[in-house]
Amino acid sequence: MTIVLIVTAGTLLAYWAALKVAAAVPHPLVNPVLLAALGIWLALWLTGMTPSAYRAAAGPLVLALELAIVALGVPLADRLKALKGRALPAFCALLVGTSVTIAAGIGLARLAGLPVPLVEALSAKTVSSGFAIAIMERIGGPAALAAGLVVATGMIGALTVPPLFRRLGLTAPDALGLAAGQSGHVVATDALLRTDRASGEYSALALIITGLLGSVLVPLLLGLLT
Amino acid sequence: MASKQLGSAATFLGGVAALFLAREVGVILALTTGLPVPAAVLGLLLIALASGVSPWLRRLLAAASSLFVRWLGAFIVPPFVGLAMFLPLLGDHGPVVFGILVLTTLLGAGTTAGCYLLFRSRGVRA
Repeated sequence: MTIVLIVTAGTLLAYWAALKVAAAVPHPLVNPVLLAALGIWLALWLTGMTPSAYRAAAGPLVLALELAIVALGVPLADRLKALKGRALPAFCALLVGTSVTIAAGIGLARLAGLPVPLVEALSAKTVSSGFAIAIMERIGGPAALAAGLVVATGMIGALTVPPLFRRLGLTAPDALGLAAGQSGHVVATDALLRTDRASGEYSALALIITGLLGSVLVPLLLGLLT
Repeated sequence: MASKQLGSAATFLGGVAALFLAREVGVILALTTGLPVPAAVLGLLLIALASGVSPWLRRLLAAASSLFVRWLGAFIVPPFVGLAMFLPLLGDHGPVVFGILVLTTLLGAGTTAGCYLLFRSRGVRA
């Protein structure tokens, strides 16, 4: 019981500190999850605790992750109301974009002869970390690897998509936001919300809808393409 | 003042209970239907539907939902820490994985934006 409390409090403290650092250095590469994980890795190394023992002791946070995914239903309902007549084109575009990304990830990974855990993780990197972890746990895939690739994808998306779109003249907040949220998840959404609020709102909606679509499409396409 | 705080705490706990309930219904749905979709995602759909039609439920969920969503990143840390076990695998295939990540990220963004602009210009409406 004591170890559960220490691990839970320690993780929350590490994340809180990482949030403070990320707020002080607002850059996509300064990711709070990555920073907190670095702190936890250091603590594990110092104490000799294994990652699996840490994960077992962090049970309350794993349950909280599930509740946080459920809680995303509230902002989803709010943002869908705000979309009004653009909900259907946005949904259809995200459906096509997410399907293409998952299929391309699986196809390229298979073409490159990557091992099965990497193929599975690359299929789930299309959705936000919370969804990717839930999907991997549902199908028995490598949740930690998928979460790592999602964070890397978020950084790539945040660093490349908005500047590239602006250079191409694609500055409509709805198109830019949906594309950034679909491809760069929380990292891109966070970066956009700080610099371009209108695009950021669309990005937040896109990351939730992409997560929903990915929950159906990842197991389906993995079954079809592997 | 005290009764107002008590009311806020009761609303918060009610919101957490509603999230738990939606998650449990999601578990039952996933088990009974055999859908490969995670139970939490089914719970998300239930909450989105219910809070969309019931302003009372929307108010009940507001504080709890906001707190859980704000701390979502913290809850990702424990699974993320397990990434250490995959570092040798990533070390062996790093450049290929990085290339796939960049390609698929740009492909996804381009496809989504292109399709959205196309559907919007064709007048697709909800």
